Amino acid sequence: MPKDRGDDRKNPEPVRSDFEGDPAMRSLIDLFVAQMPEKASRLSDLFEGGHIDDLERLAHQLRGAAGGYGFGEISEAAAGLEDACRAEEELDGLRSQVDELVDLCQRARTGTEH
Amino acid sequence: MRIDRDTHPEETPSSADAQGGSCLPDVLLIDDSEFIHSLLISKFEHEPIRLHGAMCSSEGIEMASELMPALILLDLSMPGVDGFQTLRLLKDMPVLKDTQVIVISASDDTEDKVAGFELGACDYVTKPFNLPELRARMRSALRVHELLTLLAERAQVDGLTGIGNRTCFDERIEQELSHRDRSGDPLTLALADIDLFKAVNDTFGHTAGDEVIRGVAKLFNKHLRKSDIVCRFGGEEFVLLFRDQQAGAVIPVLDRVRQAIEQTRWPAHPDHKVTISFGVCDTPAGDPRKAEDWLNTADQALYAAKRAGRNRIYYGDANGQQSALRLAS
Repeated sequence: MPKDRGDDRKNPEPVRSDFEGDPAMRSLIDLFVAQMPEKASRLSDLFEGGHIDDLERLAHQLRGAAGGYGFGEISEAAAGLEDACRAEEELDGLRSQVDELVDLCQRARTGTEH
Repeated sequence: MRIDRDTHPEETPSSADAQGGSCLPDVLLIDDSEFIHSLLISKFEHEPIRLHGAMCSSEGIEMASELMPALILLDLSMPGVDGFQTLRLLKDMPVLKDTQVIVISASDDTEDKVAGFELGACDYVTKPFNLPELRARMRSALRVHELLTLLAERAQVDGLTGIGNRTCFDERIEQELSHRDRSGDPLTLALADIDLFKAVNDTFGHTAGDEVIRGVAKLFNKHLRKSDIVCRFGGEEFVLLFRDQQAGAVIPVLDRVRQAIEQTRWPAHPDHKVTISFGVCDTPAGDPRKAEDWLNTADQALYAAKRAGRNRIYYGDANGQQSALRLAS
């Protein structure tokens, strides 16, 4: 079991969009963040259920979309998970990437939230 | 789910603008991610485009064939039929031959890029987007499309007169026959040939001859309706199409043009008059005969008009009978 994961998961630091200050992006960021809890729980469900292909697909979608909304960190983590899904044979090897991505998604916040 | 957003609601674009005027280019986004659709709808709100969206390959292909967009933004990795296969299918469609395709992908794989270009994509953009970059590439692709459109139009224009040429006519007659069948109204076709044109050229020179052809084209344009079509069919021959009209309704128009030509004083040869002969036929909705057959009928009527003394209008019916068109008195 990875050693640092526990601390990171308890890190309450919100994940914010790089475009938070742009009024034109406000509603888009709200839209994205509103979907994060559902995406996070879906990531977990797919992982627990062993559905690697679907997990890869969801990671791929997040990878492609998050950056455009200013959540570059989420894109990068999703890229890591997607690549790991492609390379990894055993489910267990994906755990750290899944945890990281789920954590980031759960911490995504809009400009008005804390 | 289809997403059609007119990004410039204050404009009233006409997607079937035959004049190719100031209508906004259609851009179609084919991507299975709603995030991407929302992002582009918002980010391109002020771009001079009409943005449309499809969520999968089959929907995208259907919309593409209806819209014939200037540009398609195509996601490479969609579930089911993927982007590469979709690109193959799109490039196989003749109506989309000038459509620009930018493939978008989360993969930075060189092999994917090469494959995309080889299949006919004009550009490759990675996700997550750098939006100013995407915008710049999109504008560049739209410029290319605009140039291709101009080129195609120019290829259909007769250099001397500015009206459509034979290529233009070949395309237009098919469109008009389809319109005829959809509308239920007849289509009238006329062939016009300047009488003894060779003599004008031989006697007064080719410049004088060119002026006559230009002048005749101008007179047609002056007397025809917006929906009527006139194309230069050959050296001194013109072909005309009148949608929603029977031959009888077209006579007065043709006769006005005939008289105007007859009465024209040509600067290069003021004492030498020029006349024109017409062969006319019409075809009702649903008539299965081909364009070629109708052209032959009009041609025979034209020939009959010449034999009867020129400077007149002859009508040819489907049975190959010709008769002088009676003028409304």
